[in-house]
Amino acid sequence: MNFIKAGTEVLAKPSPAISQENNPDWALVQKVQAGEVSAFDQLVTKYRERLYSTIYNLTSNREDAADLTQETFIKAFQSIQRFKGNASFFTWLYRIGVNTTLTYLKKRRRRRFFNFDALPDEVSQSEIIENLSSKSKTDKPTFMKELQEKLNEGLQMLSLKHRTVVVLFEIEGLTHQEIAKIMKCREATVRSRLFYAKQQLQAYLKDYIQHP
Amino acid sequence: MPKKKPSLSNQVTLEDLLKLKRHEKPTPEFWQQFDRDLHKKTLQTFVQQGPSWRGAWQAYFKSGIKWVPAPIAALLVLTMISFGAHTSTQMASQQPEAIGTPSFQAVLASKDTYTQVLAQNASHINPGENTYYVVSPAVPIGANALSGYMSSVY
Repeated sequence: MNFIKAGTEVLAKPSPAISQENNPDWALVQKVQAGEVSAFDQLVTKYRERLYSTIYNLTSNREDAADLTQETFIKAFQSIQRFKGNASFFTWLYRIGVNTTLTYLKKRRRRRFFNFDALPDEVSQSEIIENLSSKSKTDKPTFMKELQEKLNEGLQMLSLKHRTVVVLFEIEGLTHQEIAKIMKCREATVRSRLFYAKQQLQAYLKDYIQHP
Repeated sequence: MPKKKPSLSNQVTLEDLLKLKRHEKPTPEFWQQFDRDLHKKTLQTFVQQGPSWRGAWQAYFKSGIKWVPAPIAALLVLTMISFGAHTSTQMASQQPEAIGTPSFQAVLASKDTYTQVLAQNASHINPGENTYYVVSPAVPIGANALSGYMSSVY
């Protein structure tokens, strides 16, 4: 927990570097800090899906992801008085979420079982699935299930640091700079981890993809 | 190791496959349950944030030390009894201020959805309108019982 606390404190140190004047999140944070708890509801509603998605893709387990997302919001609420706005609220929240998840996964390294959110029917009509399933001997639903399992297995095979970078960059669409702030490392480190992780994944998923 | 599959495509990239994971999303019902659980856990968190001496109790009982000087033991037992009586008195007064921690008071003081759902979750404890309580069990007497009480409650 000290790791998480340290993470929130680093980002909570006062710094005039980032202007928060027109930032709607900062306005909400100030309201929460002034005692208006309902403002925190708005922040939860705004970020819960993105935060859950990140944690879900790190754990490949929907129940764990729900618990960890809730834990993240509670920690953020408890620490919000220390948040001074030198980073965006989103980065600060993500950092708590990622650190909470990594701490959880380190403690439960041996326990690995999946519990997926279902892929919606629209995905089965996508070009990628049509393309891949047309060459598969199994029917489309079975193929999609296999592919989903394989993708999640591939991610879980990566180390926590490499998995985090892949999830944040390739799935969540964050920039290298944002990831570096969240993971408290250099952008070059993010790029190198991403390169290595994608090599690993390409090898694991080689039956489905074009070789680089 | 998974079984080797025949090559399926020469067009799909790794990035394409990873983007498929963006579609793995929970249902709207999931978010309803999520909100309920979040509010419940928020309430539990603030209720469990007891007075500062709670940490000392936890440290003591986790340390494995099985004895305590008699005067200190007597003082602790008296403190626990008076704390229990104080809590009971507060419960009987039916005032929202009965909740101890400032953080929890802040949550309760706000007329927002958090408060409403927190109140709903707490209503099974005491369903009085606009009145929320933390139930404190009676303090058993005796060193072992006191140890068990502190471990089970905190």
